[in-house]
Amino acid sequence: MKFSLLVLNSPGAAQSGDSALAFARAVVEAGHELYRVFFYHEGVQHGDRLAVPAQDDIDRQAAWAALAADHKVDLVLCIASAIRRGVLDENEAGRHEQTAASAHPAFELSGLGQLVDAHLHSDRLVTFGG
Amino acid sequence: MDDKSLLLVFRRAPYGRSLSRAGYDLALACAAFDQAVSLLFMDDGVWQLLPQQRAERINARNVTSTLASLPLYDVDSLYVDNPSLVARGLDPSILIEGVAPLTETAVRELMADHSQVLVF
Repeated sequence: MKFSLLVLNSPGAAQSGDSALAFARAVVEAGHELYRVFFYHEGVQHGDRLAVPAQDDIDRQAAWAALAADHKVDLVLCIASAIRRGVLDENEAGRHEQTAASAHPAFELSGLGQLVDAHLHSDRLVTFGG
Repeated sequence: MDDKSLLLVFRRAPYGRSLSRAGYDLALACAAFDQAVSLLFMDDGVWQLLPQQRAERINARNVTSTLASLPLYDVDSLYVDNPSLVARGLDPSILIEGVAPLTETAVRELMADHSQVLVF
């Protein structure tokens, strides 16, 4: 079965981000396809590479990046949600004349069309948070 | 893939958080990509449907203007859960135009009729 996930809350602020990660791992371990993980609304903060997790906390971003690298998972940050929250890739940093890019390279900034596309091309689109 | 349809459920009052805006943005994105989308307002989401909101007083974007713009993008399937209105003492006649009140049974059928339900 082909799954996509929609992640709506920032990492650590809600259990939903960790549930999404656990679900994503379970999907690929069970041999299903993970078509896309779309980070929307506050969820885009998963892609902020400047965020430094506390020493006694897990590094959720590293976990997502590892999952993406191991299983070729498409991690997409909603571009409109991301730039409002200071998560910019090199392109957006240049376009908006900001001094630094803050998006982790494992995540791609793209439009809501990628969520519509995930809805169309997945058997299940599962929401985490809200 | 041919019979994909999306139902966006709005369950939060406007303005307290920006999550409902994310829902409206997705509705417009569906329209831009010619994908069928319906909107259902239930629980505190029914407060989004009151007219004459003066959101500018709290520096917020007026949800009534957003709702009024939806038909321009062919997003015109708007529904409201009637029990949620009754529970809040709201009469359907005072809501903005173009929103169809549904009974609990009809809400259940609406959800069953869509291949995907997302909640905002």
